Amino acid sequence: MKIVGVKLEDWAKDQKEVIEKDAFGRSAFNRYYYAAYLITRHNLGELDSKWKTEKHKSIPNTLVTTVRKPVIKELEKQCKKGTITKSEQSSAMSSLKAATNELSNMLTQAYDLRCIADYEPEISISTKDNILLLKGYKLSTAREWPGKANAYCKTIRKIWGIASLA
Amino acid sequence: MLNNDEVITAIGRRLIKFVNEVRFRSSDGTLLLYVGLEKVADKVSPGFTSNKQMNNLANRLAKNFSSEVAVIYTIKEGHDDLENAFFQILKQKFTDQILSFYISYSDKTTVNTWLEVSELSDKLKNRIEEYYIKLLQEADLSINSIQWIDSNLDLPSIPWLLRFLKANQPLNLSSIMKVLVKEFPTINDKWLNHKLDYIRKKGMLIREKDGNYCLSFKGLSVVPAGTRRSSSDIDRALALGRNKW
Repeated sequence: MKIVGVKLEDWAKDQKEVIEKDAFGRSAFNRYYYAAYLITRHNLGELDSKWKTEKHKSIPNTLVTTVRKPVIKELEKQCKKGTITKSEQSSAMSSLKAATNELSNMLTQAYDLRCIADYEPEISISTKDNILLLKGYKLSTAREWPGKANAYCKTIRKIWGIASLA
Repeated sequence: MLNNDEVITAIGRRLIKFVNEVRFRSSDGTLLLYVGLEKVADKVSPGFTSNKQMNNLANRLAKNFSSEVAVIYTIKEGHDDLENAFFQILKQKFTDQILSFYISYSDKTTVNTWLEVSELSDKLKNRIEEYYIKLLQEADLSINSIQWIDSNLDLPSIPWLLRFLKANQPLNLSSIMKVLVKEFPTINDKWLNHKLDYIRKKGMLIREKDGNYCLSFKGLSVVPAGTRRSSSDIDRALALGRNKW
């Protein structure tokens, strides 16, 4: 899906007419968001099948609550039983917190921009130094959403593995 | 539609300084509070709010206005430029080896980093880490954590090993190695032997006379179980099924 976003972004940059630049640019935001959302949903679904159908609005909160909770509990238990050290526990918890926080914040913001792109045509795409912006947010930054979602999900899955939950 | 002035009044003077913008998203009836990440810390302190404080505010507003409320944390201005600058410098220094690079802030001067590197070795990892930490220091930043994405240097944790043994026992050292090397390419006999010995001394593992390893009752009790599809009990049942066929 990211590849579609990249193509739309390139097309948007090439358009001379503002209205066409706007149309392709906002569609690119939409595709970048969906790419990140679907990567996240797929990875969470691999950890627990109930997350396979996680909705757009609930996924950021799920990340910082129910995705974290069993891992924190398990890491504490494993530390008490002596299978991991206090330092391993603390490092795993810190990495999990950073990855879930970042992914949750990114998806919340990306979803908001996708809603603006799809439902609020009165907020149009602007251009600065050949960079397209929606409500001040760079499309070139949105292009990184799928890659970031992938990196954060890999960290989350790795920590689930360390805690022997997956 | 909600009146922004009413919302701002409801937020109150103490907290409004952390909110950059209030907006009502008509497409799904959600009230949005935009908060700059540079104003967020782990705990509330002078000039800083916290996720918890913002969540409490969102819950209070949701009750007051009978509307869904979402807090959108916006990244610091210049974040992308800084991220991109570090990425380009690292790419220049370690030609064709740095595939992706992302940073986030855990506080004002401490960053978390996600790095994807092709053909990562211990030597390369140390070189990158040393160079990158120096770069950060030049920018008055320090490192909280580096996550090496898809690193082939990762080794299994003891809880992971216990779960693996629970699902596949009884197994001898060479059959464990045969499976593990596919997932952890840098693992070696010496490392594995040492870990298994450590687990055995903790009373969680039994080494039988024929050289096979099995979990003890203590070992089994440490491995989380349950009814989830990804549960270790399901792994065990599937492994037994595979062996039978």
